[in-house]
Amino acid sequence: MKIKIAFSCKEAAHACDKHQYKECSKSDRMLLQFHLVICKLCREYSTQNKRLTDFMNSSAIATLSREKKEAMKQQLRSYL
Amino acid sequence: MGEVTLHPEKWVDRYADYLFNYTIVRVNDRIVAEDLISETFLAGLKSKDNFKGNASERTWLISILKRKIIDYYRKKNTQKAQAEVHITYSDDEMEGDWLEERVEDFSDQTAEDTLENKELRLAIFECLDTLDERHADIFKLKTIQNYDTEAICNEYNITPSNLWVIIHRARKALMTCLKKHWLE
Ligand SMILES: [Zn+2]
Repeated sequence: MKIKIAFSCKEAAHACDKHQYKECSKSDRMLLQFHLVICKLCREYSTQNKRLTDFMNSSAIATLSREKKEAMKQQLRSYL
Repeated sequence: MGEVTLHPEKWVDRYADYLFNYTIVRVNDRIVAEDLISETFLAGLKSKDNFKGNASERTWLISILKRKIIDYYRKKNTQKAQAEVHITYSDDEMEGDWLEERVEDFSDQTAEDTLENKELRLAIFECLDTLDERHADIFKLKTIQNYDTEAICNEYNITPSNLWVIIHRARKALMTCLKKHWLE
């Protein structure tokens, strides 16, 4: 069995993205942390990524449900 | 002529979320906001011949929505507020102005929602507009509505790795755009 011991930048970015949605496994989070220690570029990406997550959360941005949108579309279509 | 033309069949996908965020801070009620947006689209459809093509479609819809919000407050206004309107202003045109100010100045509608957040939401929408429509939809579903990866993949017939590529690109584009529009 091959055990992964280091992330490439691409893998690190992917793990970082997943982490924003709490979908990053514990082992990947560890590999990500290791990578961030040695890689300045990914550290920057990670900071920005986290900031975007904070923005999205703190803005309390809202969207209509898909059901509601579908209903609106149908209503519009009936008048077109 | 290079004038803007209307595409009512795209309105919901393009503007519903934007209009929703515009409305929700002003009326502070999800159901009311949804109804006002439906009414706005229908009113837009009815008066689409009045569209001059000198404003963007979104600006035009917002102007209709503003009237709808004003009408909503007009109906809902307390006796006291109505009395105030009639004392302060004599004609209907002016009453409209008074309500319009209320709609513009929505700072008292939801005290916990800061002006900064309202501006941030607008900036996010401006930036979402720069994305491919499908990518923006997928990003919104995943990030704002917290849909499962699997649910989105089924819906859009894509693999999880497709999804993460789209999310990655969307996030990068948004970071760059927000930096320009918001942080600087
Ligand atoms: Zn790296």
